[in-house]
Amino acid sequence: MPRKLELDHITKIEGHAKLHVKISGGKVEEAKLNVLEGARFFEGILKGKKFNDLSHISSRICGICSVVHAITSIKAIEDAFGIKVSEQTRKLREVLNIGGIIQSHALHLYFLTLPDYSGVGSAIGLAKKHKALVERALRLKRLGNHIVFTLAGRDVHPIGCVIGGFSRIPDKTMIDALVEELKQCKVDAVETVKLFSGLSYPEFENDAPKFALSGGTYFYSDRIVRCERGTCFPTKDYKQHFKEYLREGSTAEFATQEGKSYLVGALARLCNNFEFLSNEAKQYARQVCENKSNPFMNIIAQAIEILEGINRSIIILSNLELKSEKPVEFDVKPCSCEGIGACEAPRGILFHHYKFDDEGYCTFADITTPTTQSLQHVEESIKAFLPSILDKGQEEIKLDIEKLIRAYDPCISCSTHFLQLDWQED
Amino acid sequence: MPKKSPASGPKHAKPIVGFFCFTCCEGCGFTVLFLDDLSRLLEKLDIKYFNLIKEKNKEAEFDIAFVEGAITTKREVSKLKQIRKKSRLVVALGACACYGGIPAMRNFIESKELGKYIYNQQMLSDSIEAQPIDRFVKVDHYLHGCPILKKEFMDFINGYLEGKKFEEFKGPVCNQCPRRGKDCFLREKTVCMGALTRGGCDAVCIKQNIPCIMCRGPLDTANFPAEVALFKSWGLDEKDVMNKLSKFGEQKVKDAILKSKGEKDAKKA
Repeated sequence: MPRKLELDHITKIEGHAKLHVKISGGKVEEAKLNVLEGARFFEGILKGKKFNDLSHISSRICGICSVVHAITSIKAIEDAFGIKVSEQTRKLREVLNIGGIIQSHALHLYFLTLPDYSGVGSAIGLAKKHKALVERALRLKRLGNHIVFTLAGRDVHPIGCVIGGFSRIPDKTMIDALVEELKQCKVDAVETVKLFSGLSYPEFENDAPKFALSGGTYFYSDRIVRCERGTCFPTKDYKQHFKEYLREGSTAEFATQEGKSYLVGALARLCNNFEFLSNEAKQYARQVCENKSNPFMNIIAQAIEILEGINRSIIILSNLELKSEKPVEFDVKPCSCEGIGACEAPRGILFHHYKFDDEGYCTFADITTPTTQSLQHVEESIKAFLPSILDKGQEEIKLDIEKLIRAYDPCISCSTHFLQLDWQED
Repeated sequence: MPKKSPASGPKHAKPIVGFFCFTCCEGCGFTVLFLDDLSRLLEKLDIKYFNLIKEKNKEAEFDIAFVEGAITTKREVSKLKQIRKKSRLVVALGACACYGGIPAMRNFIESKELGKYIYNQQMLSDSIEAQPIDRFVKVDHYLHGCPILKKEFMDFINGYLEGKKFEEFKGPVCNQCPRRGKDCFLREKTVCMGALTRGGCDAVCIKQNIPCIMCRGPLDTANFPAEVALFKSWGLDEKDVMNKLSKFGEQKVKDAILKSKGEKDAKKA
């Protein structure tokens, strides 16, 4: 008699999704991730809007990755209109992006991941039992917020990052205060790396090609897309390599590379851009890269990225001769044009591709998010992981699957909200 | 005897709170998690429901249900109605819950075009026009903006804990604008919607040299026709003006324009 198990939605991930598992004769027949997020059709709503409205709208794709959606949207517009930004803008955008990554990683590590490994269920439980840990988490989270706030005026949906640069350049005292806070938080970042390196993760392997942007700096590259296995191509050709597809029963998109799943995100960045890391980060990253077939290593990779982000931000901000420059002025030339923006988001490569008509209205928008790109691999990993835990009780199985999913840190709002587990067993 | 609704029952000493999320970016939920006072908040409130950070979410009788997101499916409608039944106060968090927000933009994509984006038939049958939550349930308080303001959220919580009545800011964004009477964006012929927008945000965007984009929704008392005419006189076309006005909830903006026109016509008569 077929056993059907319905588990409620998977929590502590960003968004709502559903997992369907079918077991037959003790074997995992099917593991399908379906995203049931109310569709917002971002690519449809961007169409017909003026170029100067796009970044406000696209930052609202996601509350936790709003910084990078804003930056990437702006980069695509700048690419279309041939706007070249200053060195200072590039550097401030890099630090802004690091701020977004620290916000997201600190929240994911301490609020969504750590409760799984310390048996407290939630950050609220954690706050009761491990006060010092939570205070550290809050300091790192605040650091990410302060970076974004200082440079762009608001921690969620940044304001000041605009076409051509920044609408307001922070004054020197604000930057100095930020550098001081970055320095103070370094010890928290090191402790975070140690804490997450020391947790016991399942010994599980399921490798996939890992892609990251390269050719610039660790957190801010856009020229080429690189795979740690050797492939390399110009960013503007991404559509030829990464194919998106839709699936029945799901509002999310999935993507493949040469017909197969691939991975983007912290672990992929660490493997591809190891040489760009500071020596301090390298000493922790080495072992993670050796273990790169284990998806749980993405958790440690995120911790290392907080440390590296702090190091990098201190270097940039301490050496910056801040000029109070205005955003680059430009005319929208009356000709149709198109542009691609790419940036490393907390969860991996984010692409925005727009086309415009000669009045500056958007005629086409295509957004490829990191979660879309990693989602098929998440699904394959669940299928590969399940046999090793099938003899456990239902609650334990559920928790183990959720831990695996959370290790990838999927952002379901981005991929188009709750994971329901629909379980069938013959 | 009919069961007492939670609204008439006594308040809990430590308020029982739920955060519920419908179709949106969860940015308001993140804004709550990004509060500097988060640890104090966790001490003061008994958060029984918050999917984003909690694994075991309990259905309870809530003192306050914070709801973010627009309502876009029939399933969401019934969930929202259940929340209302169980909750003493329902607070709409952010532009999507208050006026439809960015998700409501999809209502205005031509249906032929939308077909391409409808991902499956099941979705199609469950899907409804994206709407603010007050189209389906009574809302006690609105916390406006995209995203909500940390300060306004904390003021609401602190006021609630002290038993004070929450007062919304009255008047437009201009009332707090640092450029007012000096270097107003409108003088530079830059589209700024501060005069049409419900204030209270401390003019956060304008302080960043960015004109207001009406994320706190239309102000009922604003003179929409005059402002629309002004923008058009600068060479903006009707479509662009309407797009800019209606980013965070087209229907409520249209209602405000109609109301504004009606008052003008009544004056003429």
